[in-house]
Amino acid sequence: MTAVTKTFGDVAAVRDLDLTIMPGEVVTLIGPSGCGKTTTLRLVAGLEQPDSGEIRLGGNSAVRLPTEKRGVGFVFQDYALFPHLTVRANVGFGLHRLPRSQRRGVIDQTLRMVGLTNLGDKLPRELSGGQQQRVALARALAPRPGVLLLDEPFSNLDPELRRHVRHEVLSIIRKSGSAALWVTHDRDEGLIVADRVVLMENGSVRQAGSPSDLWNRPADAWVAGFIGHGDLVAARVSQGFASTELGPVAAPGLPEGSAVKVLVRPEDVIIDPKGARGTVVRRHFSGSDNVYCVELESGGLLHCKQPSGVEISRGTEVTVKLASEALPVFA
Amino acid sequence: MLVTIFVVVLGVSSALLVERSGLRHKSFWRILMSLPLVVPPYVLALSVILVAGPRGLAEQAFSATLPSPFGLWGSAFVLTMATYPYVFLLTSAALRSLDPSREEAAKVSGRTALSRFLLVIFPAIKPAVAGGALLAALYCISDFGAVAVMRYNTLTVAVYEQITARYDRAGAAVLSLVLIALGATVTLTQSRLVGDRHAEEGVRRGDANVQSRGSGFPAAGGLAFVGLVALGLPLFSLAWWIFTQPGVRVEDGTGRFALNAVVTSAIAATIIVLVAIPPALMAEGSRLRRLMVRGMILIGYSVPGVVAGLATAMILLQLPLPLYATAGAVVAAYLVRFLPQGLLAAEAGGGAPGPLTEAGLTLGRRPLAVAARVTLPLMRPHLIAGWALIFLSCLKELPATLLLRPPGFETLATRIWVHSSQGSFGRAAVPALILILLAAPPLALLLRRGNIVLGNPTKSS
Repeated sequence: MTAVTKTFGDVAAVRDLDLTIMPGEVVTLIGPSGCGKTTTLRLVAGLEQPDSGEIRLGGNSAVRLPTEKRGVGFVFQDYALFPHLTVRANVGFGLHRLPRSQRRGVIDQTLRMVGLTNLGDKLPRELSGGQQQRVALARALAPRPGVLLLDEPFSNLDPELRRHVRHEVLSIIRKSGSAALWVTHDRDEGLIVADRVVLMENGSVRQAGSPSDLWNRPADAWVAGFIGHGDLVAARVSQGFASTELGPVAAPGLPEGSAVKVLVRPEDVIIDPKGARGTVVRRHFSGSDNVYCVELESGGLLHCKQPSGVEISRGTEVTVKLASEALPVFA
Repeated sequence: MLVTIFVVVLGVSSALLVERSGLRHKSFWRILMSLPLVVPPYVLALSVILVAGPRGLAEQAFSATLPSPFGLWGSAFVLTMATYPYVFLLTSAALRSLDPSREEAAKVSGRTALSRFLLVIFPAIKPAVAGGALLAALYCISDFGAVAVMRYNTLTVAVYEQITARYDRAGAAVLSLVLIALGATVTLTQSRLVGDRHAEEGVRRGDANVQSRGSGFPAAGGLAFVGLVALGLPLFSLAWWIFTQPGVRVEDGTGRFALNAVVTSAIAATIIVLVAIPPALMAEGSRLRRLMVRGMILIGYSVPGVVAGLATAMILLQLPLPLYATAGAVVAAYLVRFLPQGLLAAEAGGGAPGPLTEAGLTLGRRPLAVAARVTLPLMRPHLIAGWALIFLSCLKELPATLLLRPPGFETLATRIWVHSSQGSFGRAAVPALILILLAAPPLALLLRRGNIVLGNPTKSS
């Protein structure tokens, strides 16, 4: 997509968007709700027409192609399975260009891929949510689309099932060789499944990169805040370092005396007698570890990760400091 | 106005009784309460006269003279009994789809039954009640047969007399315009009052299954009484008249009248449903479609049959086609009268599969193929039900048939009319009974999805 813009009334849903996906790549689109993720997906599918800009599929301009000629697969949020057709008929719906003799084989093969071989003759309403999800995926994949588009495919599944299905779906996509553009509102999911993550805000790209880029090198404080799992600690720059109440952090190239923010993740904070004083106000136990929320003397809140066995009761005074001097600093 | 108030009280209370009392066999009661829809209002009027009129059953049996059924109160009674099912059907459907957690929340907050009804249930069913009341009110404005039989002069009767007795087309046209304006005013006022209720739908958790309390006995008694009056009274009195009155016999050609009625109605219903499909396939939510729906509701429910008949007659006279004074003219009048309802029914069925259409397109199927394989199969139940509704309405349609039938062409409705306007009510009993029996099967078909097809005019606004 090159310089694509789409407005609804006065609102620009997608603004001057550039986005490239390579064959076989899984790209996730994340961002706050209303940031234009779903509109982007619908633009690629041709379900919306861009006001301006260019969309190319496999090197050919697709802007004028109607949806049915684009050869994309779309997994809808609510699946949009055809309620009056069996699972097999749903999966075979897009196979009308194949000769009849081959359709059967492709349907069988696709059902095997999603593990629904013996449910082919059921109607969608007879299936569980997870099974419907896989039918939707199979239907989108059966015609072997060059691009697979997924619109929050797991939002109707409970967390347990979601974790399970996520890995399955990812391996199915990898096997199929399609490029995938996957919209999700779940930040963790966006990082886990992606080769590349695109973070959108207000219709444009805020940061795009590998999951570890976004995690370790967020472009600015907003991106860091959206990715989450960390605290932004105020600091002031002095002699190339940002000095926080927890210790110094390298801040090369930032103007002397300027106010900055340091991204501190729970694993970057250690309990140390030489650290800043604070009080434990909350504990979040997640099995493998404890995350303690510490209220510092300045009033700021900080999260500190400790091994599962380290138990500190609420109200205890602790001293904490940074484990490293190499943390992201934002002007 | 009078009828509307009665209809709301009767329709809402019967819906509450059916859906929220300890009544068993709810679906039986639901059907019983909606069955009066098969009885054309003029037949109900006829049977009221047979029972309570001069030399009627009541007079013969108890030698008691009941207050004369003719005039305002008699007409109001008949129209109430004939139109309360509109309110009943829409209200009971709304009650059933009401999220039970709302009522449970009110119960947990310790509200009494009355305040639960006023604060929680009534606001939720208000659009349905208003929709039903609108249908009933518009029906009353446009009714011709019942008020004519009850000798209560309303605008529709005046229009009919202008054209048949005095051949005064201009006068009839002016009166028709007044009628349409009246209907349109009611529709617009009502949709203004209720407002756009799309937001009201919200998320719901399957069908309501609110625990109901109390014995079903008094409820059953009340409902049975209403059903008895609206349905039992006409059936019984017509049958009584036929089998006990010596002067009554089956008129020659009754079978032909029935066949005429069925054939013209079936042709009209089929054409209408076919015509209604393409507009219903239009993109969902497009401005054009919303405008169309609004317009159809307005036209479909505020143009009385007598006006549709008149308009068709005038158009056919101008056309170079040899249609006027043929059975084709009758079919044409039905088309004019009921096409809007057909469009609404098809629209109700075409509204759902928006995302499904998109799914079909992303799978590489052309729009026409998607329509044929996805949209139409999903619309089919709505189309069938719409066909049944229109067939039923055509079967009962009186004034348009009267105005446009060729000489010698009679349907059941016109025979009933001819006999009762000559004062020989007894002779009208046979065609009336046949008409009710013919109307029953399509209604049975309808009842399974009646609330969809009847369409709540306020919901789509």
